[in-house]
Amino acid sequence: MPYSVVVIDPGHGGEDIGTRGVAGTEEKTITLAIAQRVKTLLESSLGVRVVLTRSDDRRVSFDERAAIANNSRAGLFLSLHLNSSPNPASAGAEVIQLRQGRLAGGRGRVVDDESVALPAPGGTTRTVDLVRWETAQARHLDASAALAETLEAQLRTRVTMSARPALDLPLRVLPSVNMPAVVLEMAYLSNAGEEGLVQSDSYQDNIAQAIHDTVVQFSALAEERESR
Amino acid sequence: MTRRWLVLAGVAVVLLVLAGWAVSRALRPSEAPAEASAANTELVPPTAGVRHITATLFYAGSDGQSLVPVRQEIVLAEGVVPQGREIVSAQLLRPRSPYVSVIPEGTRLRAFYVTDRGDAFVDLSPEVTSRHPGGSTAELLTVYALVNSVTANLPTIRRVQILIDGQEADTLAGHIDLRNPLERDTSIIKRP
Ligand SMILES: [Zn+2]
Repeated sequence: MPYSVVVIDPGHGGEDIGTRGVAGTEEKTITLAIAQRVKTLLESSLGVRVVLTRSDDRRVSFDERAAIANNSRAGLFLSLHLNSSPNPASAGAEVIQLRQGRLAGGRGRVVDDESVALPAPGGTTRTVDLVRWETAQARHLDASAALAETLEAQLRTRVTMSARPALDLPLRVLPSVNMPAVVLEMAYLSNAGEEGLVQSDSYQDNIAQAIHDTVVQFSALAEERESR
Repeated sequence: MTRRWLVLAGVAVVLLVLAGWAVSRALRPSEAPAEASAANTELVPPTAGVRHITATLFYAGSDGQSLVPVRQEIVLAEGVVPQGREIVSAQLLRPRSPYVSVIPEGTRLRAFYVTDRGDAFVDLSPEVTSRHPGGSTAELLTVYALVNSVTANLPTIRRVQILIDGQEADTLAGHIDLRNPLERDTSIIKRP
């Protein structure tokens, strides 16, 4: 495995409960439960370290989530959420990546990262890449698209997919994440059937297994890219 | 003697507190009734004789994952900013049946202004976030009903930034990035 670390980001937390189902199921509770299930599965069967951006019920800011991910030097970042729609019949999983235009800083151009030479021991210099916090995701958009595609294919064999399963949206959590990253909306809590489903062991295991297989497949892809 | 003074002082304190309460009540802007009526008001066409325009407003598509454009008569106003206020105010109201609003109930327009770069700022009351159902789909519909209604009806406006209670905001419900102005998105519009 070229990846020794994977970051799983359980959406919402603390006073931010996320969305709520008709029967009262809270998004923040299910995202944490599934994140913990993913952590157990990946660590026991792949030997990777899984970093959770929160491991209990508390609020974590978007910048903190990105900082935890970036400091862990992980191979991929996956944010877990549950969805809501004005139509109670809306159902299924969606994989969302960052919309390209969002990294223009709202000014119509993508700002370039720069590198600087810093003095190193022995009178030499070393080059350090400076990555702009606001646009760190820019250099990973192709890899994030590949990650989204892999995850969608893995989910498709195990859970119901939404009528629009792949989306690119201006998501708040992604721009500062300096690695391939996507958001997974697992199911609709506004759908009574799916609200019941997401609490079941079998559903949570299916999601965890889809993520497991995505990590295996995506890291093989990354290894291939690196060896070329 | 001391006792009488104590009683008098006590009465004075009670009177002062009552007076303060009465003044603060009188000075408080009468927000609650306006809010309640706004939340329950259905969008009705302007009465005959009032000059009007036909605007395109956006409501929930039948799949719950898209917006439908609906032609609606609204009051004609002189200039981009007053017309923008009319458009957003109409978008916030409950639509006629069978359309379904994607704006949380009770949301009011606090301010609407336009920069010389052609960015509109739509400043909404806190209900737009505190009463939002959450979920990225519902949030996307709320955000782009506003962005699209402004840009579709005011050709000089290119982008829209949503403010909450006069402040820049991260998101409405935890997903869609509101830190920068957003351009129109026609990909979520479905013709009915
Ligand atoms: Zn969420």
